[in-house]
Amino acid sequence: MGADALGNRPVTAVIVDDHAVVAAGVRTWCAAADPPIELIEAGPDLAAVWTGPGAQAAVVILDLHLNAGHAEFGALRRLVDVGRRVVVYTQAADPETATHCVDLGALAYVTKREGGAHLVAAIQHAADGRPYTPPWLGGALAADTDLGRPKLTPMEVATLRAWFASSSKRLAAAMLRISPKTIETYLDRVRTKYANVGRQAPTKSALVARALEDGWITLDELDG
Amino acid sequence: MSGLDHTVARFLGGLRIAVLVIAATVLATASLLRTTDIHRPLWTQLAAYCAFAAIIIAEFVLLVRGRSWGRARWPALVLAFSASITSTVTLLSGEATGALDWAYGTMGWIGVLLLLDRPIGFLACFLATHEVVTLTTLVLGADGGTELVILNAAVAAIGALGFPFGTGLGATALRALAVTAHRLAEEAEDARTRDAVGAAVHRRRQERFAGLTATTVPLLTGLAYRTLDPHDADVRRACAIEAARMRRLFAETDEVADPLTHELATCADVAERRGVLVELETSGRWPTPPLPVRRALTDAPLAALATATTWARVTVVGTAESVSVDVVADCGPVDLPVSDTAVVELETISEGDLRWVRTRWGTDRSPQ
Repeated sequence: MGADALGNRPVTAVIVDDHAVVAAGVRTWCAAADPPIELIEAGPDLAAVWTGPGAQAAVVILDLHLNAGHAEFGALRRLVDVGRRVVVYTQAADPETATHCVDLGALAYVTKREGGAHLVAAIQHAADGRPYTPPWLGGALAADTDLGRPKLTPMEVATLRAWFASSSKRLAAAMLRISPKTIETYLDRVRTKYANVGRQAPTKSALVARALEDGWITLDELDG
Repeated sequence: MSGLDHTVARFLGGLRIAVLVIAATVLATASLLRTTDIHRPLWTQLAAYCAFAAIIIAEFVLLVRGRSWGRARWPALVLAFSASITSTVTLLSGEATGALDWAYGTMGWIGVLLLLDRPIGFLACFLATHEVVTLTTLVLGADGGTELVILNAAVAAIGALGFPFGTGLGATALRALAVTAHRLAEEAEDARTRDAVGAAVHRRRQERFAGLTATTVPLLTGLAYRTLDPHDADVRRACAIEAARMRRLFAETDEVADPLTHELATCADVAERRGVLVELETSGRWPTPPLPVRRALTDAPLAALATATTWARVTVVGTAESVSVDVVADCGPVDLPVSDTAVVELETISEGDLRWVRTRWGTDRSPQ
């Protein structure tokens, strides 16, 4: 992972969150990350991602609830449609919202209850165009009973659950008697399957194409 | 029929049969049947006889069916008096209460038969009215009022009124006994109910605390007798586990939508009070497992959670068919209580200081 798409320059990010304290906290986490992430803009509304320096940021960190009682699904859709890489960062921990964001093309859905490590990992993955599945999202996908959900293998579901339960790839791997690397592969396969169902978006198409190239998944599995 | 009425009916049942037999015998052996050639006119006497017979037959039917006269007694009483007066008035002059007056004695038993289940005052009034009507007829008769006739009537009254009245008094005594017996039976029933409720409550309490007596009581005893040292890390761990178990026990009776998560949350609360950072997350929906299953599901995870040093992650994952409870905690090596493996599956792994405990219950596995 890292900033290979942008050469050796650090990963850049912009955060849209109506709470200044959240932006300040994320800035601290980004600065402490390895490699460091440069938070080039922070703002309380969507202007920050469309104009000024924020428009050039590699990753958009989006608070889903900028206005009380209203989720910014439209803003997420527009950002994904123009090819922006979006990490949803929210306090809303309900599975339907999470799977909807994944369907719309968010590369990660991180709840604010989860620590900075998962947000930083999500930003680093997103800068690289890769999805990241934090433990809570893993649990939400494992419990997804929507009719339109992709068909997951028992091992993929077991991986999502183990990751959700332990929030440690090492422990999850030990529990399932597989390697931590395989855990990551399974998580990526799940996200690729999700990207392949429903609405197509540039980031999602790229995700599926890449998964096929890298051999995570075959065309047969996607058809299932 | 109320409980008391039922008891009274049972007590008076035998007496009622006796009265019916007496009344029927008295009517069947009435002098009328042997003196049909003397009575003029005869048909009024026969009509009165039939009226009495009808009442006795009706009583027989009611008795067989286990019913009482109820409101039908009042028209029956009117019929009886009509028959009795008709018979007395159309009797040959001066024969009232005499050998030819078959209806005089019969009427007393008809009264007992109709008023046996009423207070004794009713029967007393009945007999008094009967006597007054008869005497009035006698005195107003052609040769009424003579000394002999009056004496004769007084002697007849002893048999005709005295025996039925005595029977009525007997019924009254029986009724009083029945009321007492009923009250005593009710009190005994109440006492039995109270005993049963008390025993059930006690049993339930014992069931709830059964787990604690096996684990909490030895711990408290050990602390009280100083055989256990509160500075010992193992003892402190055991105390933390017991505290969580007690909190779970108290939470079991709370009315909540999701008892399993609620019980885990109270255990997490105990750990948080010790400064442990607890993450509690759920995923999916599941049917509420029965209490014994919930205990089996939470026993081992609770021990890991209660002994966590700084951090614990508690997760519940459910589907329509199964539910699993996972606890990952930095509790180090700790003896897990043996969950009932007939009810739940238990998996556990350790890595360094981290311990992962998972219990799973599926509705496809029938609890034994």
